[in-house]
Amino acid sequence: MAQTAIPPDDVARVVMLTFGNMERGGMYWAYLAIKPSRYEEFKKISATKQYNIQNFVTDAFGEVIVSGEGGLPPRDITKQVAKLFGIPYNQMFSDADPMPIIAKAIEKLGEKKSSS
Amino acid sequence: MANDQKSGSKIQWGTIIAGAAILTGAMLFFPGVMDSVANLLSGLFTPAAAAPMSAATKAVIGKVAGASLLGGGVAYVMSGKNDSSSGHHHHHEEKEGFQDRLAIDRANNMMVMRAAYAGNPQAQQMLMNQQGR
Repeated sequence: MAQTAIPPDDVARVVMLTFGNMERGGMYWAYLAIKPSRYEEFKKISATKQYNIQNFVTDAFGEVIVSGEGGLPPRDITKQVAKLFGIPYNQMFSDADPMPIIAKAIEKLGEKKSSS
Repeated sequence: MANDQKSGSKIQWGTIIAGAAILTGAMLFFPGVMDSVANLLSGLFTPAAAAPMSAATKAVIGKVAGASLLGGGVAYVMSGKNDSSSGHHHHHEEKEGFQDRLAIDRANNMMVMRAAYAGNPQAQQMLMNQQGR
């Protein structure tokens, strides 16, 4: 069966919650949509304590979904991010590796495409 | 310099605290419906698409709307599926709402625990307060 290769970056994102310090003081939080191909790199770079989130988009890591001031996002925001992107609540903030989940979903998508 | 582009914004981005990127989940888009994830995000997250929301959310959105959202003015959106469907589904939605509340509470607790572990002071304080009760 012929399968159409679907580039993960075209159809998927890893959603991460980040938080950090603002230059003027205080904290911010941000939900980020990260390209699957850059996920590991972003994890490493964010662990260096050196990365400035303002460069996130220009560095082509992905998109900022929503952000705000404070250490943590309000409950409503987390709920809406989950709803909007179809992330099951019981799978949120787990330790699960997102890459196999994305690969499996893309595989299913490819099967659907090739059978239609 | 990238920082200069956002100098007029309310939020000045800073350095991410080490280990402070917490996995939220994975999402998948469907090719053919959207030509790119970026387009989907910029298309959905527009003020015009925003539906009525709680006061707490409004407060945050107010800040976000005037703040430095990167990548095409991404702001915030409600799904918009519920706004015109009141009435005969009301009871059913309430039941789902209760289950959703429990689930999102659990997710929120998980977020606080993981954020505290990653060094988030607000999350650490919340956990300490819970333990002190």
